[in-house]
Amino acid sequence: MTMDKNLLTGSTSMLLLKLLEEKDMYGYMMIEELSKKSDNTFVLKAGTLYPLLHTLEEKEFVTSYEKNSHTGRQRKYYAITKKGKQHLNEKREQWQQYTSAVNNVLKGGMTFAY
Amino acid sequence: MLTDIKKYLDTVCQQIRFQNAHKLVQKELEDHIIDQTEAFAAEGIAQKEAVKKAIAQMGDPVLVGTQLDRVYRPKTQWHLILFVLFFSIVGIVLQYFLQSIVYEQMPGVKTILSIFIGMGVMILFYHIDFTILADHAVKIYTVYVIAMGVVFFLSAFPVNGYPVYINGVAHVPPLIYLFPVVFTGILYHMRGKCYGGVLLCMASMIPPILFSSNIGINTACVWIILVNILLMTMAIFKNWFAVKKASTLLMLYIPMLFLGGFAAMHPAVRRRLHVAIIDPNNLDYIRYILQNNIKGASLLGRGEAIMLPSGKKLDLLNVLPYSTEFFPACILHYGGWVLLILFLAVYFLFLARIFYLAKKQKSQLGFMTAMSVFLTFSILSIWNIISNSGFFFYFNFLEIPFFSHGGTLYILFFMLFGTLLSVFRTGSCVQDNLITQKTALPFFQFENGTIIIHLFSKKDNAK
Repeated sequence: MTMDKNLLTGSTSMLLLKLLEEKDMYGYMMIEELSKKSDNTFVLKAGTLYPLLHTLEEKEFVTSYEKNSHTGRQRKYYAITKKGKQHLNEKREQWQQYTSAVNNVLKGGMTFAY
Repeated sequence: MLTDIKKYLDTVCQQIRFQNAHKLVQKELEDHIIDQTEAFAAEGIAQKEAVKKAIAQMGDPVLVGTQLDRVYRPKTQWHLILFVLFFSIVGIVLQYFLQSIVYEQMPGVKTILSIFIGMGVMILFYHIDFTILADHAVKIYTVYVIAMGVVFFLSAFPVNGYPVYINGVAHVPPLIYLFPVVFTGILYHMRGKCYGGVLLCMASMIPPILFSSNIGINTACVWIILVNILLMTMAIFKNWFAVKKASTLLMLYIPMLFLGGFAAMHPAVRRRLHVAIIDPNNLDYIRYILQNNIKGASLLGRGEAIMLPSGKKLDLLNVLPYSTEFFPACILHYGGWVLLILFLAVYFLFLARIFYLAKKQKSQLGFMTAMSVFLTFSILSIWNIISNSGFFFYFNFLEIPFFSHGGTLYILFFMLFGTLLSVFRTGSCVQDNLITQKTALPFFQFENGTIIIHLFSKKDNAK
């Protein structure tokens, strides 16, 4: 299934923060995890991922550090910050409001049982 | 194969104008391409083809580079520069005002010239990559100690045929202010070097202390050593040496307390301490004046004249020697509490802003370098303000950076400030090098009746 690009761009940062909420990851790991968890719906290009990650770091939503990965090679890991968690919660609420509104419209509007 | 990767990375970096970010971006993207290539190779794709596919997966290099260019911009802390300009201007205006009272003349060209030279030095240090402090720590330290030594021996002059070292007055105390920044490089260089590293860091403090102590104690020297001890304590807590924290802190603090006690036993220091703490019959003339200055200060405007023990009343600068060290007392006397508190509030806002930006540093090197400058500025200014109150003993008032004092010292403060701006400019692109995760072996170990001292040995975690 493919999704509209605009809808995706707006929510990618939310998805990345959600991944990092579970555990610290490096870039390649994130792309793999996202693709796995979404049944290959979200296949992010590295060229999209890194500018986004670096922007999130700039905004202090994530922080990074160097660590040896399971392959023994040094990798740049990203971790979500407290500020990032707050941002994620806000984004999640906005998203839920948005999707429930869309669902309501698709179902044919709100019903009032009187 | 590697050329393809290099070509891709070069194209990305060509779009990023901020050169300091290149290394960081290149490494991360290269790692990604290698991971992706290995994943394709594991699926049975030939190596050459796997690389091509991995690069294609990355996306358009020009687009990636352009997006990263928007993220990475050098950050100039203009507000900090404005703070410093403000203090410098207030300092000069005050010098003009006070000198017109005392000498009826304008501040010397030297003072104004030193600001311009200082600004030039600041711009130079701002553009120097501060990571050289860590990359060339030993070289920088060696040059620093040699410079201190040369100044020390050059300032010797013979009295009755014997050389007398008058190191302090003209040259050496300013140089000691650079020590915390140089020391940060040494601390960083010693990361992961266990108890041997701790001892070498402690030993590195000795030559600059020796070159700076003239009459048994030198106030600036004492406070700078305190800054270094604080920096070292932070490094221990950050596990830079991979050693047991409690025992290492004892290793650091016991000799320092011992040295402090030893210095306090010096006859000149003991005499000064006696007068400063007990002060029988107001023997300390300057303390007496400063205390009376506070008592007679008004809320806004000129305070009461200073009452001398003889009962005679005189203006502050008729009884106090003119020196930029006494600027806070002068503001209080001629401007009142409101002006003094306003000035101090702005100054502490400046220090708080430096602390906030230092804490935001991603790399430990950036954090510690910024902290070394922050602590130096803070300790000097707090000591000066406390000394100006007259309610605390003093040896030497020191100065509030950028505000009191001109000349060489001024240029030196701009040097430190330039380094600080360099940290804030490029700090987001600095990544600490990994050090070994292994912890140090105990410092002392008894084995078969012999004592083994482990300086640089680490535990073999594989066991």
